[in-house]
Amino acid sequence: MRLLRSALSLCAALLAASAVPAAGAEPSRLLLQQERLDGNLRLLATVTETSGRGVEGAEVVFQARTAFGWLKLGGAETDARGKASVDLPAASPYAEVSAQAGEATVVRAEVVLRQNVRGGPATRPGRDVLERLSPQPGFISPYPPVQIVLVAVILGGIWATYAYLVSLLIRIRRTS
Amino acid sequence: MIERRRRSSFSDQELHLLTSLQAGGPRYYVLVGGLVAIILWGVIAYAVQFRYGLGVTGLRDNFMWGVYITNFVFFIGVSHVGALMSAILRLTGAEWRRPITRMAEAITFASLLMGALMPFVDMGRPDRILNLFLHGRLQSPILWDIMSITTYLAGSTLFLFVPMIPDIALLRDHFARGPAWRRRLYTVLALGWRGTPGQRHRLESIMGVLAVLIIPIAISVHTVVSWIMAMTLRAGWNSTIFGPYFVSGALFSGAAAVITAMAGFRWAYRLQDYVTERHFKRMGYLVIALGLVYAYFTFNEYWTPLYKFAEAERGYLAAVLSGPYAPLFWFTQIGGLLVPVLLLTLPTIHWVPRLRAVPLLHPRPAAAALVATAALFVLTAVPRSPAAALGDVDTLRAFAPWGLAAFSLWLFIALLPGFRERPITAAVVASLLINIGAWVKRFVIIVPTLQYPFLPIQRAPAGWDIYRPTWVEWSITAAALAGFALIYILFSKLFPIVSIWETRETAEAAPGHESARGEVAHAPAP
Repeated sequence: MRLLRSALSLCAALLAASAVPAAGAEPSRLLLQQERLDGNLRLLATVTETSGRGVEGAEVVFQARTAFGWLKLGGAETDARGKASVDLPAASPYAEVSAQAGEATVVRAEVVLRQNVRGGPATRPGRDVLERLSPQPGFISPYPPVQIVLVAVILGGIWATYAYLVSLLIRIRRTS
Repeated sequence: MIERRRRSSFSDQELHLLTSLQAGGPRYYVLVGGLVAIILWGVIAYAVQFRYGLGVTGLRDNFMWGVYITNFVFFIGVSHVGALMSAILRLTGAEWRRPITRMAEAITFASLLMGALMPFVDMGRPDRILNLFLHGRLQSPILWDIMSITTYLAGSTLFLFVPMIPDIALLRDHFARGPAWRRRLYTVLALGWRGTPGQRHRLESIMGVLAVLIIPIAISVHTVVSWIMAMTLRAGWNSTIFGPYFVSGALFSGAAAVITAMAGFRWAYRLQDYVTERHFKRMGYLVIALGLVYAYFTFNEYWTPLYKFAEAERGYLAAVLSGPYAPLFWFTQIGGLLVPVLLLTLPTIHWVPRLRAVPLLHPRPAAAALVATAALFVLTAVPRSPAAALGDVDTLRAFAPWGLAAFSLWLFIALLPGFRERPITAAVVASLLINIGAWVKRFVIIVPTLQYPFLPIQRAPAGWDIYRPTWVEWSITAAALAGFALIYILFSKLFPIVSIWETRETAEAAPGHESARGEVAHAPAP
């Protein structure tokens, strides 16, 4: 009976130990959320382990995507609930941010900042419509309408004037 | 009889202009032969480059641009003034322009052809030209360059050709019994010109539109050329004023090239009655004004980064202003800008003749001192120099550049009274200095920036951290210059280098003109 009680106590102790999140436990999942706070934008990362409990003391690195790669915005340590956050100014230009945590096993999440996503045409003429004209999809430009119109108006205007002048020259010949 | 009647439609002066179209003398053939030989040598150099690749040049990973792109920017710059100057002077009704506009317009045509060739030489593999069209990206300044230069070449060819039509018609009639190829050429190009009111009206319309159109095109072309550099973030190129800076430099060097051409043709074809001292004087004023604008932009371009001295620009600025490129840079500022402007202002400086009275200011001792110092400079530059026997070689070596500068200044001041008495010689010397300085300046703009990138050149093989042009590049450069001169000379052998109908109009408008009026009425002219 004593033996049985000891075994049950050991199991209970093991269960209790497994239920309490240990500092420095390996994170297995990261949830990244955005929320507005006093005009700023707060990025909130929640790091959890396999059982779904928050990981305390994990270093979370927040990054933003730029034209030249991922730019580090800052880092924060998770609290007892496994949460870490950074605040971005409301005017920050980034449209896509990420957070990652962990050393041996890295967990990562990305989120699109709703306030900075500009609505655009679903079909981009340069890449999608004119794609078949060139072996290279980006042949025209990422911003095709502006550049094509500009070049077409300027160069087209000049060459059209040349054509008009050549037609006048041809008329000189005809009237001889 | 018919021939005599045709000849009678020309005044003696106009017949003199046509003598340039006759077969040249021995000097002409020697000159053309020399130019062709230089071009052939350049073709051999290009064949070597084509066979073995760009490794035979001084171009390396970091120095992707060098002498070829220097030539490109230089030629496009020189091409500027022809169309632009001619158009502005036409629109403003400057009558003095008439004998020199065609020279200027032909410069545009010849230099554009040579300039457009240079990027293809720089590419190494000419078959890759197709990639510009197959994979070209509209956001690339290289593609903008191709579009703008093609447009400018077409416009300036029209601008050169259209005012020549009445003259070509004159030549068609003049050479009615001449060689068949000339007859055919002039008949085709004359477009059936008879000088009827309808034809004149159309020609005037075309000239009016072209003169207006060519101005923004010419300005935009060199702006776009500057953008192949200014659209990068590199130190020395990342500048907002590169467009106007390049345009001002192009006009300055182009106007100087016109002076050189004027002097050359005046001497070769004895055009003293047409291209007079007055033309050199007026062109001199134009060059002075353009030089001052260029100096203003240069000051702005270097002073603002120098004042801030940002970390990224320190290496480049130090190299250009006081480092390895300093002799070239200061030559462009003193020899290519200050001295020429001074030479061109000499006719208005009244105290210059008094310099003759100063005992030491004679050209001979100054020239002797300069030659001696130059010899010393060469001797001390050679390892184990014989000059070691003279004492401390390092001291002599240090003295030589300063001695050269000081004695050059001495010689220059001693020559000033002579230059004042010969304003055309002074203008030609000034224009040559400006063009040499312009080429060197383009080199100083391009190469030092490449030597000081944001990330220092590392792990490069020995010698790859500095640009040294090889014989291949110099040969192709010499061939390009010879090609430019050859096109220009051959043009002057096919068409009168001074516009006959335009100078005839001037003569008609002159008070008291009676003699040729009846003859001119029969001649085709707008």
